[in-house]
Amino acid sequence: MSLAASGCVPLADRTPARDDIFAPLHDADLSAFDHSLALDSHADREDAWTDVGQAFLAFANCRELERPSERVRDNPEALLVYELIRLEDHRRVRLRRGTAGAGRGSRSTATIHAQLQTPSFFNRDPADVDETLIRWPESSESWPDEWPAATAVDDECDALHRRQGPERLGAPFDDIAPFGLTGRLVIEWRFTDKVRAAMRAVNGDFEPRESLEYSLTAHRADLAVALSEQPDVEASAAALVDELARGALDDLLAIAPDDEETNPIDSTNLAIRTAWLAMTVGDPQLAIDNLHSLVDHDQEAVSNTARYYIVKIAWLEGWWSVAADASPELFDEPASLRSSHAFFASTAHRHDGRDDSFLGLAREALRDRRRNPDDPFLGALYREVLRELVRYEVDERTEELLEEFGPRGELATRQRELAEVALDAGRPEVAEEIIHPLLRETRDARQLPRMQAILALAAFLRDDQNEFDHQIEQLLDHRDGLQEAIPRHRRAAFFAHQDGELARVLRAMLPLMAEWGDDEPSRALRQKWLVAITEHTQDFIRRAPESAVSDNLTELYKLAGQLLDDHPRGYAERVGAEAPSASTLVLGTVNMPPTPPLDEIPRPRLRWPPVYSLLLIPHGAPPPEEFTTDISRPQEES
Amino acid sequence: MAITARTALWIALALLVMAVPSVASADDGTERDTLQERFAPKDGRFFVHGSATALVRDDFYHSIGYGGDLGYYFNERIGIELRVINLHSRLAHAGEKMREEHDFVPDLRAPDALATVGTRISWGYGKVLTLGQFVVHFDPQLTLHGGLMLAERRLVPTTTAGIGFLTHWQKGIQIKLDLQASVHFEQRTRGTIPAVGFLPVFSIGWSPGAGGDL
Repeated sequence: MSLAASGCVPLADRTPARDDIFAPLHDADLSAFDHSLALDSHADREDAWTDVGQAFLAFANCRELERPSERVRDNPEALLVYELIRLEDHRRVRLRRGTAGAGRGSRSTATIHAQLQTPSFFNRDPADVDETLIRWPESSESWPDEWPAATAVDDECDALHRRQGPERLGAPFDDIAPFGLTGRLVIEWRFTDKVRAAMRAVNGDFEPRESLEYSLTAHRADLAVALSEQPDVEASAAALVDELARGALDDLLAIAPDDEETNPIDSTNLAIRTAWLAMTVGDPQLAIDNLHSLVDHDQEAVSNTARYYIVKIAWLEGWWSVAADASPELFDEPASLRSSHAFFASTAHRHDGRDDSFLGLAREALRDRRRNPDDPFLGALYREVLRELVRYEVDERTEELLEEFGPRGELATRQRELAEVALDAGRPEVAEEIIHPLLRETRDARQLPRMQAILALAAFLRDDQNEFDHQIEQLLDHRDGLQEAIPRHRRAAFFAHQDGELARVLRAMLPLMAEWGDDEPSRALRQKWLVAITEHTQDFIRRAPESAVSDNLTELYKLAGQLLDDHPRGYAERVGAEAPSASTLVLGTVNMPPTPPLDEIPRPRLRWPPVYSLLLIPHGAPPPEEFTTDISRPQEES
Repeated sequence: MAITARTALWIALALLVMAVPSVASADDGTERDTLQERFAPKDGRFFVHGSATALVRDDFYHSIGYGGDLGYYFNERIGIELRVINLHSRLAHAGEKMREEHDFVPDLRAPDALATVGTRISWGYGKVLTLGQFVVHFDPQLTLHGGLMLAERRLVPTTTAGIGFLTHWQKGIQIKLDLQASVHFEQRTRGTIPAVGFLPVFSIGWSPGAGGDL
């Protein structure tokens, strides 16, 4: 005592007092943050929040996180913060691995990881030490009047992609590799479960609890959507994934979208998520309800995509008026949806009985455009237009309309196609009204066989055998006049077009006859035309045995001959047929509605930003007084 | 008993060994640099010390003295110092015997006073745990002074250089020990021949504002 009073310096702990250990983290000063944690360790005052701080430090440096310690597990708030860090850690790995070769964090640009992974974001170098301080070299031992110095903190994020995970996911995801995208989604989902359990364990309220609940719910919705889109989910797990999606949807619906103060997910993104999940679980009405809120979106691409989905979903459900109401006009962007939207929108108007708006929309879609033959939607729409036009008598208006549904130079082709559709629709008189003037006007001899074939079929449908015979003769007249001038070995190729038309007519007749019923008049009528078919076929085979369609027509001749009551002509036997199943069975015609193949219907992905942050960063001396979800460098604010 | 230059050198070495810091406590095993506040900052501060000293030369004289130091530190590393010492010299036994038997006297005059100005350079920082509970904080220093020595009305150019240990105590108290070699350029019978000596200086003083808690 006397020595102390006289000026002796007692050995005492000089470690700085504990302050808000997370304050440096909010300033993005990792070195200082690491220093504050080291001071805690040095002073032997570690607690659950020190462990949380160490987890933040490991997270910021992309080091693998350990399981929460016992003292963290005993502290509900600390456990919640800890599990959120682990969740974000897994999310980061998934986002980063999903972009191999696409640059660091390119898919995570809308998340907090974009800034955390910016190399210059964190300050990793220690601040200059006050000159009045003594810096002792590192040692495994130190005096109580010394305290740890701040050191440089290394960034290990370049090794993030080598991060290992569990070896197996466990049932029912046993067959899914834990390192693949699906596996990582499953792991991430399980961490959201841990976070939810931790949230339930926290007694009382904390800021920002509601915001976190919104973010977590939205994130689970994103995971459910992503999981449901994975192709490698086996059937055993698919049911669970569907169940997860339904659960996520229910949670999403429980969010109050109007509460913008506490909800970091704005109503638009909420609606997109809800709509997409509703489509995933097969709730068309819910999907459409939410998509309606996106129709007025600022971005035209989002707005039009939402309109497209409304129309498509309603169309496939047969809700014609809903689809028609949602599509008063067509759009040009995005181009990938233009033709499919035009089809769904236009035909929805037609099915809903809005013929004028149907023709208007179809005209807008087809006007002056050369249709891509590979575009199934515009092709189907065009056929639908033709089916509509043949419902009416042919007049000048028909031609005017037809002119508007494609390039003007191809009007004749469209007229011929209209005539063919008229035949399909059972309106031969319309086909003749169209073809007769066309036949008079055309100067292109190559078009004549097709027109004569149409007229022959029209005559057949009208049961006018004289006209039918006449048209068939017309079709063969060309051959008679030229046949002798063409060498035999070139005739098949030279007459291929018109021979093909003849074969087409005769082939088309058989299935049509099969539909006539089985009463006596029908049978008589059928016999009459079977005789016509066999005679014309026989005549043609005799006149042009070298034709490319001779074999085809010979088969037709045999078939028609078999169907004749008097069974004539020596060709009817099927003796020697290789297999009975080779016989043709004629049932009738099948009228396919002009629906494009379902697997070709575009399913554009509605994009929405991921949840920005799922972190809760403590603020204030432990225990924390509040939490924030972001880190902002002071210099950025300035 | 006279203190020879060799004895003084051993004392200096012993003090150096004592200055190696001993380990007082164990940390958590995490190895990293540690920090410590200077117990007594010197930056921009004056000090005043009272001193006791002895000048040890092979000159047949016993010279002990007292005096004072007045100084100022420009920063934690460098300071200047004015040192004034009053010396009391008397012939040693061998010199007295020579004077009585042969009437010979040394051609070196008895030193009476010393006044020097110089610099003090702190090149490190150290601490020593004493009695398991008290810590002595000190600056190991280099000193270099130049000045004049008064020896029986002669003014002798003098320079001193050596090491010093400036210890810091509570309430601004400072205790320092300088172990210096001295060189005196005095006119002797054979001309101006340097006389080398050993000049230990023990000082106790005070530096305003020094000391204090963290």
